[in-house]
Amino acid sequence: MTLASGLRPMALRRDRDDGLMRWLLLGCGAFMLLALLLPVGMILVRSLQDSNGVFVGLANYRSYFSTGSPWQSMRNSLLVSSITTVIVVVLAFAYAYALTRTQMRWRGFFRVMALVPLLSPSLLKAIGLVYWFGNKGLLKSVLMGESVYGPIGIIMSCTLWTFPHAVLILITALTLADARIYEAAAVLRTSGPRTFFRITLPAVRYGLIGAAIVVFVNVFTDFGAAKVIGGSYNVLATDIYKEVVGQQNFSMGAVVSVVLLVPAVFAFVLERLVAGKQAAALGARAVALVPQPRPLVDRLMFGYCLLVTLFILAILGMAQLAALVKFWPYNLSLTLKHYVFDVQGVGWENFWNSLTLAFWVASVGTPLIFMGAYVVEKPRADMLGRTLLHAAALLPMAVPGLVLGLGTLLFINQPGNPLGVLYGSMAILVINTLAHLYTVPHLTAVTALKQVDREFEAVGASLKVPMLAVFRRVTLPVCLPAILDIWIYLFLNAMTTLSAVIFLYSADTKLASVAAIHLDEAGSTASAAAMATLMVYASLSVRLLHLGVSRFVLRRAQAWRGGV
Amino acid sequence: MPINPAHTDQATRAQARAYLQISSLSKSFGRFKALDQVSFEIARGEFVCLLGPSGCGKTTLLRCIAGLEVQSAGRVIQNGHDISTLPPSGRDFGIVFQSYALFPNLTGTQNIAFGMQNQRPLPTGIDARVTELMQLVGLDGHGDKYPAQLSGGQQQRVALARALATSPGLLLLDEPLSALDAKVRVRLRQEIRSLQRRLGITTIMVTHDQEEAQAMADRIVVMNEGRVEQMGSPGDIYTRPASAFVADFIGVMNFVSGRVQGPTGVQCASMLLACAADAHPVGSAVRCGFRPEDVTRVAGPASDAGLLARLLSVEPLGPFVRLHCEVPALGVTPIRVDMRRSSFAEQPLEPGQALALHIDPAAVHLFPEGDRA
Repeated sequence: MTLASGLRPMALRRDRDDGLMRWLLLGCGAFMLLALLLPVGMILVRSLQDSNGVFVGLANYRSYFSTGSPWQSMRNSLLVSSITTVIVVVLAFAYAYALTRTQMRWRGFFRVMALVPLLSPSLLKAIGLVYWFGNKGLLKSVLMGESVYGPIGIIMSCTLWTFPHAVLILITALTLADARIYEAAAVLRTSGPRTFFRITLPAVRYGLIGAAIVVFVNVFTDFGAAKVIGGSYNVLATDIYKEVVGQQNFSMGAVVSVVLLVPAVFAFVLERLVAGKQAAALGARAVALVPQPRPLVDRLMFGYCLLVTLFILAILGMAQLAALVKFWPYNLSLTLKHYVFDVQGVGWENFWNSLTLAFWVASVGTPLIFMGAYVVEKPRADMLGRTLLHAAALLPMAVPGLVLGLGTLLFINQPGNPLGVLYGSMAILVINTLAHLYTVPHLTAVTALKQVDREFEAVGASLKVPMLAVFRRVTLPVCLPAILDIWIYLFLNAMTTLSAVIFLYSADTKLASVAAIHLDEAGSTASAAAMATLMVYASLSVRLLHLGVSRFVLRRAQAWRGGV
Repeated sequence: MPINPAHTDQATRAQARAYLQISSLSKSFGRFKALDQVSFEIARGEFVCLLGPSGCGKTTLLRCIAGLEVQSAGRVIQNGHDISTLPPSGRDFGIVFQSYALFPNLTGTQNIAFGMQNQRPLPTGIDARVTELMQLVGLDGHGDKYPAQLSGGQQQRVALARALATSPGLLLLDEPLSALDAKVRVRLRQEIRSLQRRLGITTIMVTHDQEEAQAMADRIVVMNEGRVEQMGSPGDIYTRPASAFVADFIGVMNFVSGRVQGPTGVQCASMLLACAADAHPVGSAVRCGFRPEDVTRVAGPASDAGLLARLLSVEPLGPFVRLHCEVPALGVTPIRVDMRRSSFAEQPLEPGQALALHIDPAAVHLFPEGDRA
């Protein structure tokens, strides 16, 4: 707690629990430092050095910006991100509105369908688009002579990819509605459109801003879609890849990383501020809104959601079809030969590597992140340490995967760094992916812990029960649903992760997402699609398995939740 | 009322004094002083209520006693030991929170046994002790239910039993009744009080409900803005409030302003109010406080003996009625007068009608004008 100004602070003698909490804080802090802060710091340092590691000030930046191409890439990145943001926010708002504020049929089904793109890597959507709109695509003529390879493809692909994220944010915003305000509007005989524009829209403005920022940052820093479908259209994310992988110019890669990092961090800080306001907007006494049937609106919205769902299914279905036909579009007979992966350095082992990675990220990350959130949330001393840990936990959301990956590469290859032994190992992929995905599960855990009575530990202390016993017998069981959610979030996202690991894999640890990129580069688009579909089915299976196990565990262990 | 005043002689009282000593306890949050030099003592077996409006520092004080907050300065001494810097786990207390903080995933029995099961070496007869506690708080037959399956009052009892399970020397109650329905609250406050008497456990309860404090406490500590305004028995505090704040906070009090005329009267708007004013210098500005029940209606038409008033409105309050009267001679603030329902019914009045009042001079309390409630 804050101490009196001017008065010398009194402190309580530390007990066993204080020591334990301090160790946990140190442990989580060390992870954050090694996996996140130092790698990002390395990027900043490296951008000021030449290729021999000599400090050269801003020379790299000067030479980078002296040519026209970075400006072009930046313009392209901004243009693509802005257009995608507008499209996604409009589409996602209508979709989320239909799910939360109408009585249209099949709402449960549409809700699930909106999230389906989350299960697949962005590359899969890009391939689906190529097969529909590419040079040999069925609907090529729709683009009226424009090529899908370039901004159009990137925008379509990123729209599909960021749509679920925006829908999730807007569902949350639209669910937080106070029925009493709508009753008041009805009593005052406010018309439908006026109610929408004067009450509904203003109430979700923070949700809209938040969704826009998340979409913008994701597209701005995305690598997969631009790589596969971007053609010769340069964006900042692919520039980093080209500098590092193509030209082995790490300093220049670091410069582009900083150029990418700064707007992302800025946007993220903005998003956090907005998220705080959204949470405060609804009082504890609010009454949940139950939408009334409106036949016309309900039917229109049903049509709209059906259209969106069909589009998603068409793209994903086409990618699956692409992986199964012999030779698109000339020989359409079905085959499994694309699942053999006969390209050099690519094989089923990449798929197993992805499963292994996802398993370890989820299984190591869940306890780590939950413990970290527990340290942050529980009222003990070390205010400063807890605040810093929380801030560090929020940072990964703002750091593009490519930047974190490059930073980690530079950090562990720093001469004399004992962590260098991890280079090329599965461990470094796990650590890097975990750091990259840290923020969302951390927030989930903090939210869950906030809902637990904050006096449990105080009661424990009065009963002379160690904190660990209270944690094991009460906090952990009470937070079990959140813990299960964290595990599956980490697993699914680790499964499809690409940008964070593209600089860090070795021949032995190459992942399915990387392999799919390589297959695509080698011209085996059908095999790339096959690899990507494997990831989707694996994710889907694990998700369903998780659902079953969760139900079973929760039913057995959570009898107390049911009430009478 | 003290626990058993008849049996307690002076010698044991002095010895029992100061089971808990709070001396010069201060706590600041930045510029804000939550506690300002709070000092008092509690005897063994006493039931003390910390009473005050929200934000007065009563909960902060309770948390400092438990070690859940660290005071900025000052000491807490329990049973002769200085516990000021001990962590909560090193102190000897049981606590019931406003939210009860029951472990939702454990049954009533498991909640109560929680503390004992973690003692090393494991105490014998945990089951017997739990059964005993369940009977003590009147929870027979509900032991296997989870907190969500229990009513508010039952949850409260489980929390109480859990706090008592390890036989602590001090019981801390943080607004334990405020989440309950009015009827349950009244019943439980009697139960808690008689349980506390039987066990003889020193107890501190935080409450903002002055009626609850008066009904339960041996002594009440009235707090305001981080300071102790008055400490005393419920009777003391009601009949001899030490400040205008206490007078206003406890029960209902009429206030009129005036200037001390002499040792037996205060000059109000246009009349001399008879009261004992010898403690205040002649000519000083004072506020006169008197309770509605100390004002009586003078029978018959307004006579010289009475104070002329006009009825503004009548507020029926169950066994009695409260008359809001305008008394021009005392100033513009309406005066509240309580009458038994039956005696009002004998001579009913309509708003607007005149009546005569009498204020008992012995019941008028004087406070210096600067001492605002």
